[in-house]
Amino acid sequence: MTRYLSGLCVAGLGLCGGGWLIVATVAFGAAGGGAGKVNLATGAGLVLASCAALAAWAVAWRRRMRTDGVLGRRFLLVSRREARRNRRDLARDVRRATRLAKRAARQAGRGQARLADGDAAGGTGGNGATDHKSWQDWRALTGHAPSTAGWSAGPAGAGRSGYGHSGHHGGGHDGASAADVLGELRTLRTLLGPLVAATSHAPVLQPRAQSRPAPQAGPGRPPQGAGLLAGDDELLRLADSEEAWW
Amino acid sequence: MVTKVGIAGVLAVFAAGLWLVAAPFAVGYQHPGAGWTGATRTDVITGGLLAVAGFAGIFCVIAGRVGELYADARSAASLAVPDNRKADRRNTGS
Repeated sequence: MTRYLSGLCVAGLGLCGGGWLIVATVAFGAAGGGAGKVNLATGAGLVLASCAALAAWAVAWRRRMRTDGVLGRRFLLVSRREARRNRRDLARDVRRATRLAKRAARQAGRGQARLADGDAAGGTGGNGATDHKSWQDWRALTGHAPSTAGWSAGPAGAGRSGYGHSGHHGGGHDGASAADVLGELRTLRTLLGPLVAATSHAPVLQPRAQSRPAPQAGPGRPPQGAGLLAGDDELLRLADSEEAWW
Repeated sequence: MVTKVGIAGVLAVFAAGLWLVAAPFAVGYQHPGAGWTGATRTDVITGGLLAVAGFAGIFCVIAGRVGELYADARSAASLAVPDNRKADRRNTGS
């Protein structure tokens, strides 16, 4: 810091000296023998050199302070209106993505509940093998001969349909829409993260997303990894971190 | 590059001061043996101040740079000391 300060002081002093030479020549009149020309030329040169030195030391000091972390990062050339509009668009997109992700998570939770209901209500009739066993027991007890209608009754039981609702095509967890939402979230984060970082001077997503504690399984939230599609955990985590950050 | 320009500016101030002190006698508008004119007094005083300031500025710039080098060397030495101690322990077996 010493050299920058001393360089600035000397440059400032040179500026004052050069200015004084010019002013003295103009104000007191040119003396004979070329003194006026000498003083004027020296003063002008001194002013120019001092200005260059002043700017150079100022730039060097600013660079040094930015390198040391004293000064913040340089602002991007984005107008306030544009920054506000971008912020609004980003907030709207993130809200929409978060809403979609929450809806998908809710539907996945409902499907989980239906799976549990289907297993409980299906009982022996829910599974084909178990149903076949129960049919055999009933036939042994009653002495009825096996019929086509009897065999077809097993797989079409309540348990089978319950399994179908809780699976990939049932209650409503749509795998394609969840993947779309996840892709949208990733694209948003990739594209708009630098903009947010430039306008808010805060860490974008990584620190909070990493330092966030693991979510607890609650009544309104399905347990992680239980019956959800691959990538659903990541989707929930992304949605929660985006919402918490905003 | 920027620092070099700054140092060149400080050197220019020093050189301008020396030139201003010598100019009345070098150019010839101050005759030897005669009393100093107003222009000569102005040039000598201004030049003397600028020369002293430029000289001090050069020394301060050099001193600041040397001080930074010393600070860098101290921090590097403080980082290197634990490794040397570990190496010594390994060599002595203690």
